[in-house]
Amino acid sequence: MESIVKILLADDDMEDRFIMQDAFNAINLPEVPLLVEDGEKALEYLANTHASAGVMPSLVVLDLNMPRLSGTQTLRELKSQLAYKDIPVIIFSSSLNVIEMHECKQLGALSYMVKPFTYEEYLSSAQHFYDFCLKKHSFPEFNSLINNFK
Amino acid sequence: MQEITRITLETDMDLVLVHKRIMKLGELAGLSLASQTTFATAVSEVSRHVIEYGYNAVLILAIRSDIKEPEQYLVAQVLDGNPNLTEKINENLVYARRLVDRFSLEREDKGIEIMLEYRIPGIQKINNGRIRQWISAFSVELPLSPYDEIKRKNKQLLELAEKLKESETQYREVTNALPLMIFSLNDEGQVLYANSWMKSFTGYDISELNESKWRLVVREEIFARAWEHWYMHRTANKPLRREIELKNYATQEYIWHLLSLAPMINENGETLYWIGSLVDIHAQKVMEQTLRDNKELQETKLLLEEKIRELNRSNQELEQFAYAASHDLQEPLRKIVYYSDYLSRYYTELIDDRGKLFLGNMIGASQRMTRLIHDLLNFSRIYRESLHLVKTDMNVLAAEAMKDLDVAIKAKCARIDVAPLPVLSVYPMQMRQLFHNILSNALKFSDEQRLPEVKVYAAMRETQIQLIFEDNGVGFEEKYLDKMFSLFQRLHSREKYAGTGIGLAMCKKIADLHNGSITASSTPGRGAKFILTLPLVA
Repeated sequence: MESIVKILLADDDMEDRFIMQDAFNAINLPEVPLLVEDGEKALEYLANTHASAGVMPSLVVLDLNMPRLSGTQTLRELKSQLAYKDIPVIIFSSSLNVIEMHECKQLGALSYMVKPFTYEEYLSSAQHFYDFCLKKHSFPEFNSLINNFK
Repeated sequence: MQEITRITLETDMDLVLVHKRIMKLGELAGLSLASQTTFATAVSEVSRHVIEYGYNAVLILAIRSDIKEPEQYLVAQVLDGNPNLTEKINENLVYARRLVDRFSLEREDKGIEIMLEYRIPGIQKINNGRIRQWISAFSVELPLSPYDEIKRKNKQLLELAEKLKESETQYREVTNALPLMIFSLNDEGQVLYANSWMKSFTGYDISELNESKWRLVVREEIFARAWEHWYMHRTANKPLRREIELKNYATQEYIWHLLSLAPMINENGETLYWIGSLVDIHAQKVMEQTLRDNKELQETKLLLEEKIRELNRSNQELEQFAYAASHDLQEPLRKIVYYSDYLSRYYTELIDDRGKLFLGNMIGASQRMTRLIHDLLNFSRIYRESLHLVKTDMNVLAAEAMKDLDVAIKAKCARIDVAPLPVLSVYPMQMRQLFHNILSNALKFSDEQRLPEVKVYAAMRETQIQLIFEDNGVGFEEKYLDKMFSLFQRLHSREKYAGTGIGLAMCKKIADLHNGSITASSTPGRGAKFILTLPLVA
């Protein structure tokens, strides 16, 4: 049951992908993350998995600032396709930007997260992603995120 | 030509008869008294000439009434037996020629013929019946004594003079009553005659104006140029128009006038004198000037608006740059923080104390940089665009800011008294940031000798409201006031008080955003007072 959970993460930063994989390894879930280097690759992976009737990811985590297909463009693409539009998407960005946040909310993202600064935080982020897939964790709503923004 | 009567010209007595008969004929023909006199004078002049120099002269008075011609003329035909008479032409004849409508002089073998004709006014033609009546009237008329005749003539002349005087007085009254200056000038630009308005307006009579060359009423700076203009122009014999300011005696103000001068030219094309007028055009000039000023103002306004747009643009670019720069700086910094955190967590056992100290310093530095970039990002995010003024209860904002600072307030045992504050139209997020920054400063710069106390209250001005934050902290020297609100300016060392030097710069930016201002006052060691002034928006 647990091995079925897959999380698709798209980030062009190799180190970030490494750190993320490291965090999942540390919490003993090395098989959960599927790391791709940009939005195009993410769509490609989804298309292939869909075509081969494989296990679709329970969650998509997108970095915002990526070459070729950015996080918001990928998000738009995902939400426009019937096969993917119900997959929850979390935006995972290095900084908080209220305008981007509004845009992502409108495009149908589930939540918006600022990338952690410490190893501990990474561990808990990885755990939260996983728990969310098991419906054991929920992410803050956009409205409260925006209201907290200063 | 129809003869009415004839008179032989022999003695001076005949001149009296000539004069009398012409006056009579003129009267019958409907000529005015002036015209009768004019024609009579002309014919008398010719008659006197032929009596003196001629021979066997005779005067025939007649009327010329041609069907083809619309006009009718009284005719005086002088026939003289001296064919050399023309040689004796003198001023009498020249004068007479000028007085009548038609004049001719023809020489024949037997003598000379001079014709003087005077037009009869009116459109109704004199018919033959009336002419026959005139002829019979003249044939029965009795001669009068020369004395009576002269007496009567004098009386007529007096009447004429009286009428002339009356008409001139009337004319003078009319011109004097006009609120404009009418005058004549000689070639030197000296006023010969002027209506009374010239004195009423300038306060000076003609001789005073002439003597001063108008310096009394003309602006000193144009005085020389104006006269130069006149001297250059006067030989041109052409009308002249220019605008000039003249000083009004009553108000001592310079009033714009339009000066018009026209030369009076004789038959030889010489200018005898100039007639002119000066009309008040001040209202028109003032309006012109106002329109011009208004136009200049408009142009300046457009220029200013353009500059403002440019400034806003470059400001915005700068803000966007600051934002992008700090955003991009954040990414590598995050890695530094992450790796140093990881190192300190899992590898401290592998390095010596010196290495640990440096690692600790590195973490401290990277955290400060994180704080700095965070603040800088917040600072550059304060845009007016996409913001909306919201009526906000300042007490709620203050409470929110205090909640954010709860840990620090409790740690310092600080007391924050917030008096009832008004509801104001503000950008709530930014105003909350301002409250936060100022209250956080008050806590940070508290005096160790006493527990921190902060008072927040409002004061109304006429069109403004002031929010005042008064603390009992360490205060500052007021000479640093300007520096304090600038970006990255710190009054204390980092060791003593942590901070990025952005907090108050952000407050100033937020005050500006609300079209308000922020300032502070303090005595070192006795607390500080920060005053936010906002316009009252209806």
